[in-house]
Amino acid sequence: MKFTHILKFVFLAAVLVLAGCESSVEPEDPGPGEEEVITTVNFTLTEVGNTSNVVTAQWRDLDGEGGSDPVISGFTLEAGKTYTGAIELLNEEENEDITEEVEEEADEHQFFYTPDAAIASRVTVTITDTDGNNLPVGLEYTVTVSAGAAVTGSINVVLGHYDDAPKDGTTRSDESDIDIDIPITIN
Amino acid sequence: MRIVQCRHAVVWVGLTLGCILSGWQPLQAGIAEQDETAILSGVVQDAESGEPIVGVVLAVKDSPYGTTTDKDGYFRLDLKMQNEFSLQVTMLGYNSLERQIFLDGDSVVNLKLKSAPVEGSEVTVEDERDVVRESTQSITVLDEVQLQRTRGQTFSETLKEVPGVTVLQTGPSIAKPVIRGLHSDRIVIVNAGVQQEGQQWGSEHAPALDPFEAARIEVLRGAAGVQYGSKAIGGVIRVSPQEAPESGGVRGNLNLNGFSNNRHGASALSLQGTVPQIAGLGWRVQGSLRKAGDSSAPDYVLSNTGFAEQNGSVTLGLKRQDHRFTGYLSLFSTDLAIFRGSHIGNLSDLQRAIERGRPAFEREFTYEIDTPKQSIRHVLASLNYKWQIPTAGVLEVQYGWQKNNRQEFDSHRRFSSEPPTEAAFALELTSHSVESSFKHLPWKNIYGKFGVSAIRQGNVKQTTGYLIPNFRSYDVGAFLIERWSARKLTLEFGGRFDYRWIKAFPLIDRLFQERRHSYSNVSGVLGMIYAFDESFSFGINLGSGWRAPGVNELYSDGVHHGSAQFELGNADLQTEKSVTADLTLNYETDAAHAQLSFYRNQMNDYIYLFPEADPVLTIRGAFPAFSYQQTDARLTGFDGFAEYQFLSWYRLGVSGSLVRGDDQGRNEPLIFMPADRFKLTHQFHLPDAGRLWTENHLHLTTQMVARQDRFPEGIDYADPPAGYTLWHLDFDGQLSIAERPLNISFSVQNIFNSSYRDYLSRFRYYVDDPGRTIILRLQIPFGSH
Repeated sequence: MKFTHILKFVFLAAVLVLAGCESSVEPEDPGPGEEEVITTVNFTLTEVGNTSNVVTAQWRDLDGEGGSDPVISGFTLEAGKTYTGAIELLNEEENEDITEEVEEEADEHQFFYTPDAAIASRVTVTITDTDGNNLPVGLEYTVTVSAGAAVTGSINVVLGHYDDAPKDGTTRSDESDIDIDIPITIN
Repeated sequence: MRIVQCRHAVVWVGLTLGCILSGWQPLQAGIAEQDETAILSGVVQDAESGEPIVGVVLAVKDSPYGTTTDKDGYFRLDLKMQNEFSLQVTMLGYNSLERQIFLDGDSVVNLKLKSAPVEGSEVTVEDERDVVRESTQSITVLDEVQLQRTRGQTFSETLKEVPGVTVLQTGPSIAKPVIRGLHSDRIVIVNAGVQQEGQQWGSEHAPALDPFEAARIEVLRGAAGVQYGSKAIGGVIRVSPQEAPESGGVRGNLNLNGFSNNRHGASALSLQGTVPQIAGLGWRVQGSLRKAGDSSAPDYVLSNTGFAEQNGSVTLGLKRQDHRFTGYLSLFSTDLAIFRGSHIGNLSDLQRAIERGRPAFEREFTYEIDTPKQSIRHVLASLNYKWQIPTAGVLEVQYGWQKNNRQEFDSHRRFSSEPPTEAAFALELTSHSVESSFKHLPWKNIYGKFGVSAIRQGNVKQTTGYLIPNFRSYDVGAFLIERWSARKLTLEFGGRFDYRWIKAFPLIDRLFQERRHSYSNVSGVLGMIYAFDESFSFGINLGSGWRAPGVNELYSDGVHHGSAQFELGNADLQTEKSVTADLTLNYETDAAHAQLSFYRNQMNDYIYLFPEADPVLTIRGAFPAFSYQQTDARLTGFDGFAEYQFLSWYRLGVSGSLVRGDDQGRNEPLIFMPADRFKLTHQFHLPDAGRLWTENHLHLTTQMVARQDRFPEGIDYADPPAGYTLWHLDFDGQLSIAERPLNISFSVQNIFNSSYRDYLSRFRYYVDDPGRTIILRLQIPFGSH
């Protein structure tokens, strides 16, 4: 009987030792913060031959995915004009410019600018920059608006990330880092 | 703060144990000794041929009682109704058998002895028939022989053989068992007596269990809340590792497996023995390694689908008179590559991948485990104490400690091609559990068990990625289950009360905020078994179960990895309740064996993802939004098998399962219910090749799976895939070149290399399931016995 008493004691002691082996971080702490996000995409269009005519558009979602909806302001363009365009990606939460990261990895990224049906015949976007393999990137582009009546539509902007399947300049990737729609008004 | 918490745990662990160890002392004296006798009878047969065996010696261990079988293999023993006792069965030329029997009335126990080709070894073979018979619920037992046929495969795949069980697959490396259409948090997995805890809510989170370690697996279908507490809504899977031996020298087993498709190699070594200096002390150590590269579908390589797994365990058992202590420690570690093509940006990317119908990128076969991947470590330690109190019953106390670490790595960091060095998210879940039960001696014709259990959990996220919040939870429960037995009829009834308390730190309005919830519920069971005769019986079971909403269901907020859907938690969820009615018919004679179950599982406040009207607009595009909501749902179905020995060398088996899931609130089918399936097996017993090759069996299996035609319209991205038929061929036999025979098996799975996609394969949107594989398995026993 004495032997079993010892065993009971050993059992109890082992339980207590294991119970003490808790994690160094307690679940009572809320834990580290949120993942890095892109909060803002800025577009700047400058009229060719008239650098004082600058048009901007913005897609901004300061609280990241979910939560409140993004705030989107569109372009107002003039018929019969051509603009040179630039795009800027920011994480305003961390005060970080993500455009540079895309620039550094240009051979694995490509922007796609696709005007919707309402303005497809009026707006042409041409990518003017290339990566090391002479394939388009899309950080720089021109927007040409043909002459005609006033119309509204939108443009779809996608940033494709090429990881396994290599970038060929035309095929979309299965992994879109950005996929947003920006309204366009043509006066 | 931390010290206070720890002391908390110590106090309640101490209290529980204290109550258990001291509190039951008076009870022991309170129960009077039983003087009634009962008849234990049965037939002993040859396990292979089914012939009765004459002259088998049956002896009650540590007692003068015993008998031998007559010319029909029949025996009869008049025994005092007493505490659990051991019946030893020995016969020259056969493996001896030892059975634990709890005599609570006249009983019939039929035994099968396996012939010992070399010399009698002390192998304990448990008769699965009794487990199945004694349960009023639908249950299937996989013993060592059956498990041997699937060695090397994932834990869930070994369960595919069980009627009513299907597998939810995320590529070739990740599989989860689905019992009668339910999985994840609706199923309880018990390993070495401890409820396995490891982020099971995720449909791509496979159970962290070493498939080589299981010596026996029991699958209980339907709600079993009384015995297993919360979460046991869909069923229970009990995994029992081999126990430490009580006698014998050092001996062991070496398992070697090879799979051609993904060039998967697996090996497992187990050793066991006793310590001669310390009476009753036995030990067992076991380790396994599995490594696989990319799998291939018939038409292409499934890039990045390999895995590497290392597991080990140690068991120590000490038996002194009426006391038995078991200590168990297991370590599980795996790295699982996830198919590259499943890393999808947004919904339109997914639609493009579906339209393409094959991977956009294909690499050469490699063992390389690239990102995306998962790394999982699981440690389980358990201590078990069993005391057979001669005049009262059996007291059991169990303590379990588990730590589950899960890391998931994304393809790459956003905007960078560098493989990530840090996990996209990492979670550490620590669980302590204490359970104690007391199985009392029969009083009149009633015997049963009551007990208490408690679990304390803490979840900590270790990276910036938010998937589920940190939380601390406590669960306590108490149950009673009793049986009344007469000659042909057994009745069962039981009840349980559970309470759960949780404190979580979800991200609300961009800030971590503390939220508390508590849930409680009562579960019950009513069952009966009626045995018409020795071979035909039926059981009826009415069981209930419940589940508190999981922390993911309460507080998810984001795009779920690879599924291109935005999941929104719902903090107002209530508990989910289920009642299963199950009718099981069991028929077993020498030539035939059949088990058929019909069931209806009524679930109230069933928690599921309900599609929201508006998508969530994010920088990565628009994602369809789903929120966790509750409805009433019903699962009805049937599963079972039938086998018949037509000729001494030919046996035909059929098995099938059918599930119908309905969302009663919306009056439409439930999504992701397994398709109807049916299996036909021809088993041939091949002649021996001298004394060299014996026990030769050939199985030809046809697996037919129908298309799932019942699904809710307009929710899924692609319609269910077509039905399919697969053919498999398996050969197994024993090769006697050494002192102890080698078990050899050779299989070809998916003989015709058919392309197919299963409805419950999560990658069915983009790729086919893996094609043909050729499997070689060797089991080499060694050592003294």
